[in-house]
Amino acid sequence: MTEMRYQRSPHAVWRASSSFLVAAVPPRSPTRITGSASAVWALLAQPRTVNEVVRELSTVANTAPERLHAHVADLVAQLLPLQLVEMVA
Amino acid sequence: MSVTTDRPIVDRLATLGLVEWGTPLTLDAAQVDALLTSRSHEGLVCLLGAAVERGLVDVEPADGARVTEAWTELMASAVQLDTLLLQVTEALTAAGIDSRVLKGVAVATLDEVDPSWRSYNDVDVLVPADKLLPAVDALVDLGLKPIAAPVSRRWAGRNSKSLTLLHESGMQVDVHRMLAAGPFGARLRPGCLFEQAQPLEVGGVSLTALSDTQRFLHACYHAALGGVPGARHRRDVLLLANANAPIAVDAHFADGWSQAVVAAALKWADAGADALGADWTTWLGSRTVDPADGALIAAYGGSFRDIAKAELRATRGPVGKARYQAALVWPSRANLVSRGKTRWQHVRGLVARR
Repeated sequence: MTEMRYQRSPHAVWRASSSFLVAAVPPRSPTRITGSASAVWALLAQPRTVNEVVRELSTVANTAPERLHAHVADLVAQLLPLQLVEMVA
Repeated sequence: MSVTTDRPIVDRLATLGLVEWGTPLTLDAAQVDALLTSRSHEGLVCLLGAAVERGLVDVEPADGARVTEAWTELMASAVQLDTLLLQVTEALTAAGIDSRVLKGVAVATLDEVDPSWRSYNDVDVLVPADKLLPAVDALVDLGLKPIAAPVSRRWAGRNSKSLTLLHESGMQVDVHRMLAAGPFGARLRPGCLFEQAQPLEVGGVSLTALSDTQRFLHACYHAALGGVPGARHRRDVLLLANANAPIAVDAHFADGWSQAVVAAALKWADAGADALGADWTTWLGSRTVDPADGALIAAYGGSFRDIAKAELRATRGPVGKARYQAALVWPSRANLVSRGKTRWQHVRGLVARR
């Protein structure tokens, strides 16, 4: 089965640092997420599967992929209904 | 570029990323409080957050959390302002009015080290000088209304630098017809600001900012003539100076930009910072400021009345002078109400100050 790929919305207005992500698809209100969400957000500039994001992050963060997977999957699940992230064919 | 270790924290933050930081600094809770409660136009909270993230400023974990929280809120505000900007530019375009995004998101996106290092408090757009009133009318449907009624619509359309509109959310939009009030604004050839442009993308929408050089010149005007300059104005001048060579700026003075204003802003911004490149230092050393312009810059540090007097002096012909003064002497009733004055109080004030 083909894994779903995700990409951040090109219509998102956002700011990020390594401590937070603030983003909105106008005219919605901004969503604030503290922590390392911005690293995932940066990777989602290009279409990626959750596993691809996890792989890239684990290399950068020097952390085991299995420890990151739930975090990334939860974040994507949180961003999807806000239309901040889109599923890409 | 110099190594600086003993400058005040505000100065160091204003030049973050522009000069070598030197040894990391430790701030206690009271010092963090002072920065978190600094005036919003100083723009220090974002720079403090960035300095903490980069390990240039060391704070207690609880203070670090407070900095991140404040920084996050400022960025949420920036995102909301950008959303309003998109609505504003869409409404102006629909009304057939050209616009340029000023300051705020333009500097954050095009000039700042990272957009998250720049906060702003309102939306600023420039429209052609003869389109101020149509632009304001085009924005009414967005729930934007003038925060204070002008002395007269005709006077505002002909003489105002800008009109400030208040959104029902509390956010403000400054619609500019000029980049500076008074004689310095009036000297600038109006069309020049729409002959060049720098594209800017916000939320996937292509907007238009002033050109790189004009953003630098505007930053200088805002710093030298804007009234309450702070660390953010200083940083804008330095950021943009280092992105624009003097020779490129020199080509613009024929449009009416003042060398005196640019020189004053650069000297003020670079005082004690040593953040300017050698080309700008040489440029400053080679310029002789017109004493009349120097005196005029000083007038901008005063009240609206001082600037209006300077503009009146610069206005040609008795008819022009009478036209300029008429609405200031006899403002609209709505203007008096928004200033909390009766006509009698206004007239009495005029007579008392003569």
